[in-house]
Amino acid sequence: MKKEESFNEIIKENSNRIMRICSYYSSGNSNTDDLYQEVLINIWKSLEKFRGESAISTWIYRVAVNTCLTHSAKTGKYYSLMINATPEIFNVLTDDEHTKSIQKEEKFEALSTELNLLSVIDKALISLVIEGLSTKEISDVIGITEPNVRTKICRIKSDLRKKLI
Amino acid sequence: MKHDDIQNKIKEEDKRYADLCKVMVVMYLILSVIYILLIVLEIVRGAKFEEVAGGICYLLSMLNFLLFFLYYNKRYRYADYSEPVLKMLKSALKRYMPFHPSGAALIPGFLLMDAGLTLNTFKHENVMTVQIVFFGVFFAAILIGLVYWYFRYKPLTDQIKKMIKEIEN
Repeated sequence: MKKEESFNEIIKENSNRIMRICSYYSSGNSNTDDLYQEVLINIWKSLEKFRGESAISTWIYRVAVNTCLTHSAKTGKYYSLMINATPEIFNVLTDDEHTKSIQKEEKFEALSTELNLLSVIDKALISLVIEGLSTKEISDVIGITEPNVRTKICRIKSDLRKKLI
Repeated sequence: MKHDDIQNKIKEEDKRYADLCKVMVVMYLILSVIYILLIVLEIVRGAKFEEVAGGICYLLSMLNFLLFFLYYNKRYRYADYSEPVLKMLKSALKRYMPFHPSGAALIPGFLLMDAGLTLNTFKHENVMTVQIVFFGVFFAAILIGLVYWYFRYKPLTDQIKKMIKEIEN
């Protein structure tokens, strides 16, 4: 298969995924589009280096997070993590299934504030948790060990629980 | 899109460095051809052994630099930005540190150049003086390189280190 065909197929299958990651790291629609374009350029440039050692989706997340993280690094830990909070996301981030949806909705603003106080890497981890990646996949994307990923996620969730529930 | 984020900075520097290495490859290729011609001419005109040996030392030194810059061109041109974030940052940090173990590959080249210079001058110059001048220039070049690194690459390596620290902590 030609590089162009392969690229088009990958983008067709993963464009929503890439767009979601970009939207987590951008402050507006135009910024999301810029980031999206940047991720596409990086995918195109790195496509020949994909050796199939991980799933293509994990590789896509890796390129996208790499691009977004290093792009966001200029503003340090103060860039915003733009998450559209829902009761499901609240559950995922706090492991809380008992609080009623209406009560959770009241806490969405507090959740956004707490998420934006996290460090760059914690924000990246949270974005991948929301995307539903396994610990192994997150480790593959960020490059830290699985136990380290587990510890960090556990700590973030525990902090969020303490502050929100 | 503003090009002041880490990845774009690394990409720009990688490209610049790779282009510079390419120029060096071409330059050493031309110099190697010139030295081959000069060695052949010296042999034809019946030059003394030390003059021919000196020329061969220079040639081998040029070939050493040529191979080194070929390797560096590949290293910077084909840097992988799709590696896991931490690995990508650590690889970039290695590329932009002033001293790297791979730099040791240049030592034979410098020693051969010194040998060539000594063989060509020992009859009319004091060997010690030649060594002092050669190593004086060598260390001055390293010092200039370090000053250049400090202003051009240190801010980038500091930024990368900061991010690595944040990921690892």
